[in-house]
Amino acid sequence: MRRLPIIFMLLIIICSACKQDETCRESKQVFLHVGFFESVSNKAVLIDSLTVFALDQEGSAMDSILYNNQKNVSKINLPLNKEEQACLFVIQLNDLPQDTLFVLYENTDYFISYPCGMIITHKLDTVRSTHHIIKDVKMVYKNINTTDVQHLQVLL
Amino acid sequence: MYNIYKYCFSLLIACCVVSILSAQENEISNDSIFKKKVVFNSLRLDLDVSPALTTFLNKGETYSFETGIQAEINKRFYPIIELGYGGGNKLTGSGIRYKGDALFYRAGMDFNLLKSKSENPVYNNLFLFGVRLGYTYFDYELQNISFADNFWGTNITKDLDGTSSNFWFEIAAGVRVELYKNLYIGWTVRIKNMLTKPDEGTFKPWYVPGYGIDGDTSVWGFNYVVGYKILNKK
Repeated sequence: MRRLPIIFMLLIIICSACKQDETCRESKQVFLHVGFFESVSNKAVLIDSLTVFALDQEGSAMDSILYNNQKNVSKINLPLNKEEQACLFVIQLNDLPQDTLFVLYENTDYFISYPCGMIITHKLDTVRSTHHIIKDVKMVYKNINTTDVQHLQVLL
Repeated sequence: MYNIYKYCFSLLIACCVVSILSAQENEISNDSIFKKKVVFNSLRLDLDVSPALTTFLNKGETYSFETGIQAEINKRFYPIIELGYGGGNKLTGSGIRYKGDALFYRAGMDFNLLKSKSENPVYNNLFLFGVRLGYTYFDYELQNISFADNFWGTNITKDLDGTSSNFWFEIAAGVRVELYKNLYIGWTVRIKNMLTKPDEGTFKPWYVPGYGIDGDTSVWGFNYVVGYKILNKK
């Protein structure tokens, strides 16, 4: 019993020395996942060459291109602007005329954990496009978060 | 973790059953089942002295000070009320600074598993095993929540305030040794499990006063106490 305080103090020191794991092991990537499909058969389409870039709020092309003549693409991931509730993306398949994709959405703060912090998730509201090559855009899944699911189907 | 709880619960129920059966034996041996009444024996005040060391070891990121008052009934049952003040101030791994502190409360019951050979021993040592229900309600702050986006070149920073109401359940075991007349020292080790969980995606406190760092698993707690019997009806 005399050793009780010493044993207990050692126990406190050992337990206090156990640090919380502060490494983030969860994905923080939130993208709009878009797949390309053939409008009649509804089968996935492999595009020979694809270029995608975003337009800023003034309608000017962003400096960094999301996909620059990317070969053999059937799906793309598009980052939505967390400060805005609408985004414009220009899509060019092969050397065909460009189409513009308009995405309207809502933003929501989402807490993951203290090591990972918070992210902003989105909920799709409206999606429109020009129809040079794109025939239609189908909204498959409205909630955009870290889950890897297809949100939009672009029908060609 | 479920198995640990199952085991502890089984042990607790076994202790209760043994305690009650043993009490019944005494009553039967006295030829009357109604002879044994609820007898208040004593009241002990405990002060947790471990924060003097733990606050220093945690570099002040978390702190918790607590005291408890425990009654002794029929020299077998030990209802307890604990009151404390704790908090956290920490820059977390994601860069979010967490700040929050509050009073916390616990109530529960211990059972003495140590049977004294003498009816009135010189020193009353206790080996306690029991349960607690804890509660705290407090405001907290999350500062410098950053949402950086390299592609769009945006960097949103937010500060958020939250209110948290928490209930948790504890299984506790401890020892109290009577050092000198009515003066006790001892320790309590406890495993805690949060009963209230926030909705997925909503922010929650990093540190819950009286409970500890609120992760996904159960939390262990240790107290080193100095106690004094303020009322003693032998």
